[in-house]
Amino acid sequence: MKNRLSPQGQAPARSDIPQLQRRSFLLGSLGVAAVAALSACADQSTASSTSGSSGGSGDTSEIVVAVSALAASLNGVLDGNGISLQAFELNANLQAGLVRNPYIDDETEGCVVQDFNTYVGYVADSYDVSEDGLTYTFHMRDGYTDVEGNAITADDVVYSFERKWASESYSTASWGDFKGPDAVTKVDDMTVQIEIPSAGFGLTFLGLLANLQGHIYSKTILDANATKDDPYAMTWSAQNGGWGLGPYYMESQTADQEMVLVANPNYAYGEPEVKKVTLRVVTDAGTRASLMKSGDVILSEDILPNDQATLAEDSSLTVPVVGDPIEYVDLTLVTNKAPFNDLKVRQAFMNAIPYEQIIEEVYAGRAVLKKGNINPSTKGYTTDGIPDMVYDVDKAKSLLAEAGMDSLDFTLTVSTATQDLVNLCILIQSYAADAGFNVEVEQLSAAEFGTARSGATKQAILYRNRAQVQTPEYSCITFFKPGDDPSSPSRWSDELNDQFWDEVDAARALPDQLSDEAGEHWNAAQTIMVTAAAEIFICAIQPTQVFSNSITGWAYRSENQNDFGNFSIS
Amino acid sequence: MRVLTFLKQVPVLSLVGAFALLFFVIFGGMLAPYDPERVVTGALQSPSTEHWFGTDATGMDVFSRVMAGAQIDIALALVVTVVATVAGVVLGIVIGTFESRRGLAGMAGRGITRFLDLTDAVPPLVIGVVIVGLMGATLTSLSIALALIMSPVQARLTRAEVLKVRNDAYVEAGLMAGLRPMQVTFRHVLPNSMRPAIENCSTVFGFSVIVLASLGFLGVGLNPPTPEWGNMISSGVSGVMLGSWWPVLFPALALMLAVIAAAAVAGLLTRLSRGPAAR
Repeated sequence: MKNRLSPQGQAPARSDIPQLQRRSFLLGSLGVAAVAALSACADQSTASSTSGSSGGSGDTSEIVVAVSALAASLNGVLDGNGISLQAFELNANLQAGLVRNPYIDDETEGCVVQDFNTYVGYVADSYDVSEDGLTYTFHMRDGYTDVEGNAITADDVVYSFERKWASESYSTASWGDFKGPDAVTKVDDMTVQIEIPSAGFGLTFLGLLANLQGHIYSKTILDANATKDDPYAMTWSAQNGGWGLGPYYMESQTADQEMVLVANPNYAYGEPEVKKVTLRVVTDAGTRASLMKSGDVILSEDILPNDQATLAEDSSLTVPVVGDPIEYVDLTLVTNKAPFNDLKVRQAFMNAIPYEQIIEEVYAGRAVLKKGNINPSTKGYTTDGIPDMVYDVDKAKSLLAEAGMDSLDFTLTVSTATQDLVNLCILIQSYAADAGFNVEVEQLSAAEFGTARSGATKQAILYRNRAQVQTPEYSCITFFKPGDDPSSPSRWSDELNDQFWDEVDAARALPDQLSDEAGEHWNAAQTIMVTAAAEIFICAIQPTQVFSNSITGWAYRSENQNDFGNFSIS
Repeated sequence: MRVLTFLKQVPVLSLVGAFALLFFVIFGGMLAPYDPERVVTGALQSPSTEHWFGTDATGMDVFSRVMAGAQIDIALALVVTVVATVAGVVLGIVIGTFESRRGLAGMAGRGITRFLDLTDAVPPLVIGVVIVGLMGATLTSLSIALALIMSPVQARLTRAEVLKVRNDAYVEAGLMAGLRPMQVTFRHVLPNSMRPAIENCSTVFGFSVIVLASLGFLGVGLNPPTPEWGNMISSGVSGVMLGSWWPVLFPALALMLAVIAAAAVAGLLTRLSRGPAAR
């Protein structure tokens, strides 16, 4: 553009410049306008290339999936790159823990969901719990091997915990007082015992083992690639597959473009039916939806709700709906500064949010109201008595008046990476104005937003959230750590917070976390949490995938990612 | 009689373009039937008698936003054009006058010339993203970013003209008549060197609109729900493939018309600046 404008040090004939510029400029402007009008076609090249080797029809042993991005590292939580949808995809397919939640049927035909009340053997064949609930004994699978045929034994379990705790980037916060590798003992090659600090921690302990924090690795393969400076082969494993024990291993990848996963022939639950999965990056959500409509891919991830609603009209496609969606929209009111250090102001704003309109307009009906963040299907637990989320302008005004204000100006911060949430901000801004809240919307890049969230530097932030481990303890306290903890974005700390922790401690003291008694304490804790309005649970979002009806066995998981190992293609 | 002659010599499109731009800058907001920053009805309603351009993904009226967006995009581009041209002409005069001299002034002039050449190597959008990243997305920061992007172009045009003009006979005559070099520069060199930059104003204007819209499209423009055409295109683009074309088409058309109008005005300025003989 500049070259066209610039004489580059020479003065051309004056009569030539303007005509030349004007002509090129007119052509350029028409071109730009055409590009703008058709900018949705920006990823057409990707689209056409996607329709090549596989896709929506033909070979049932190979599939192509349209994804928004690829994980930068295969190490997940070990090198601090684990909290992203892309990393979750690899967790679900390249890694496996000692146990897992089994799949059970749910609302959408042909789809299953995880049963969060049950844990069954995965890398381990089975497990026993001592009478006092403090010792878990895991029995390894007989003849079980990694991708290269090396036996997986108790040594691999001990090694895996040593490797995690040796990583400086691995956060052990979720494990509480658990002693890590010091608590893991090899009994014999096929048996390993793990001691936990309290019986009440048992359920969350199993949940951690089943999710991204608890994966077991092949010691033999990692040792073969270790160096003196890198004894756990962290550098090598970031970009090379085969050391995990999940249904697939990574065969190849082209950064930011494509990753090829190949079925693990020695997988604990048998070699997957789909032998090869190609994750192809299509950055634009609309194009991913379009590829699904045209049948060029068999599954598209991270589709916008309005596009999902449109695709749901296509009888050859499945847009899954589950009874209890896990991912939710979290509006955190940061309590370490004005104005949201005032409980009345927080409660007023909670009543100024148009929940139903958000579900209908932003999520095209593909979201549900949420009461707290403990999974309602948890045994012994109910949501009875937890306040409903209702848009009530009069109540909002009244509470704001009690706080001594007629109106309030503040900034709501959102990441540019989540367009649905930007739209949601606009809806909140419009409706909350009627209650006296003048909301200014601020957009930050994803990285800046992450820093703002952990640093609690903004007044209010909006993001999607989820608890990976669907146990009451994990869900309830993960985002409410005491003090100036980066994992507690609201920095909630007041009298209500003290009451909250009293209920949490009472629940955790009980050995059976799925008992009615524990459920009552968790219910009380959630009621206090919702009343305090430090985090407002706006709604829970339905799964963001769309896939061909030829897929059966699609599973809704806590990390909202696909388990290709469970797929069958007809 | 003179008016009639003038109109005959000027393309009608140029006049229409000029008036259209001014009209929308002044009256764009008033033409909006709804508040352009408020949700007024359901999301993604197709064009109707009630909402001529339909509604976007949040339920805001697209017609109102396109009209209000004209005030932001066009006004900002006008400000940028004036600032970039004034700064560029002054810079061009300074470096054109001093770069061939010896001493500190000459070194500074040559250094600035090389710096301007260097800016050619950096895509304008990258400069815009960096400045907005450092200063935040406000009208001021966007104006500064766009002025910084555009002023080197104007400076180069002026410098090239100064290099030609400074050896003309009338300059030498001025010096021989006893005028000081600065007097000669501002009385004689400046008026005869700024014409290319003036003619280029409308091109700068058009590119400013495009760069502003591009920054909005990249998500580093003004914060939502500010009705800016680039933001509108960016936020609506994902729905186009599946049938929701109206949130994107109308701001894109407005963008196209603004740029064409600017190009038409460029023709007008060019004809006027060359005098009757060229016309």
